[in-house]
Amino acid sequence: MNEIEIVNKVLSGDNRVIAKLISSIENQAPNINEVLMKLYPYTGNAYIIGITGATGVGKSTLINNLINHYKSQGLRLGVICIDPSSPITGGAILGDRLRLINSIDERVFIRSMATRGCKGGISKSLRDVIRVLDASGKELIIIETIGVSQVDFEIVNYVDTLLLVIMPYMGDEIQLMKAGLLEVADIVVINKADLTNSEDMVLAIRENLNSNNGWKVPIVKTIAINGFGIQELINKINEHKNYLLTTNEIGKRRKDRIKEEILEEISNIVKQNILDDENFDEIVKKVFEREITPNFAAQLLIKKHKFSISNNCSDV
Amino acid sequence: MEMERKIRVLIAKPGLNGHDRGAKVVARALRDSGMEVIYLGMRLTPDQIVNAAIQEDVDVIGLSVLSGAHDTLVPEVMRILKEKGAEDIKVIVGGIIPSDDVKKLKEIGVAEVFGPGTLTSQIVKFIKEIVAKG
Repeated sequence: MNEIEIVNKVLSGDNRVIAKLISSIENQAPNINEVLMKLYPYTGNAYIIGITGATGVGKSTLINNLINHYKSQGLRLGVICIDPSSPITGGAILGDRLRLINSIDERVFIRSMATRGCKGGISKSLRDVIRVLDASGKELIIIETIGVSQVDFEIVNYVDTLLLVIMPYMGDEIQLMKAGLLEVADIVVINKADLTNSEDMVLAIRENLNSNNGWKVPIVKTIAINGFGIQELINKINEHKNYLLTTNEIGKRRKDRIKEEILEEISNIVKQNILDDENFDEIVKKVFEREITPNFAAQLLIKKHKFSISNNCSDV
Repeated sequence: MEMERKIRVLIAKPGLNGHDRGAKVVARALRDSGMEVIYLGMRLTPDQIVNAAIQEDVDVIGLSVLSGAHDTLVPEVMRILKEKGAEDIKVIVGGIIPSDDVKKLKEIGVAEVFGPGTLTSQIVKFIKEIVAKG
């Protein structure tokens, strides 16, 4: 199949082609950039919700509820579930899909992804995979990832609305005060709210929440297994979306994400050029022997490669 | 930079009953050999299995069958795979299956049947070989 055929099939929602394209992105197949370039004009329409939180808090069950609701509204959905790869073997057990099995039908495209060595709870290919689903006509894309409050908040750079899911008995108040997810979440969900008097927890969290540029972060209590609180959660998601749209905060956020991505791409391209440099090891040796500093070595290499990088880019 | 591509395997137990201890053991062994395993668990219909296999773009579907599900549910999976144009996905079956039925399964396109006592290393080796063959 040539690139045009692939693009047309993706646009028409062919699951097989979509799935294979996602694999090609993950495996960094050659020529993938040509296809992605042709798809890019068709992206930017989907609304993206991120759901993160520690293992076992009930993210998948919550997502089940959300899928059922949005399906009943006739929306086409994409769901991406991210699980960690083993740092030793590189393998992974991707076990989120099984929890969603009862809410799946032809209109819902679910893909399980492994982190494949990427830090922060996300995958290197995530942005392009989101774009494929976006271009294929999914109006809403939900991304589930594991987030341990203090470290895994990369997901905030990929989504429009970020839900942080926690549950009672997760640790004392001091834990909540540490920097991280609590600072960047748009909505905090206390799931399994029946486990304890969750009012204390609500108070403790409220004290640690900042105001996110004029959006007052709501705390929603849910019991996902029986649907309690789900309608309220959906209402809050809608409110946040409306807030972003009416203030045009959404445009600002999406541009910030694009900036972040361009900078990452620059870093990747430069790194790859340097790694391909046959003199790299010699320069490393000079730094090791204290002849030059790492910073100086970096500048030397960039200066040397300035011209070879621009040759790869055809005139725009 | 081209990464080595990962082998993706879907493991499911079609049908209504039984336990999935064996399936979990295999899932862990595949993960330990570097594969990505989409573990779908139990009580699945053939439709759900094939739909998942297509969306997840797996190389292999591993079906764990106990108590006679193999003569109805496995052929149904093969049929739906063909109907959806996804016959390039290889299917392997694990479980207690009479040797006559093993023959029948292979005739409908099942790549291999693994009985009780199979070492997980044999399954890993087999999967790597059929994926390499393409």
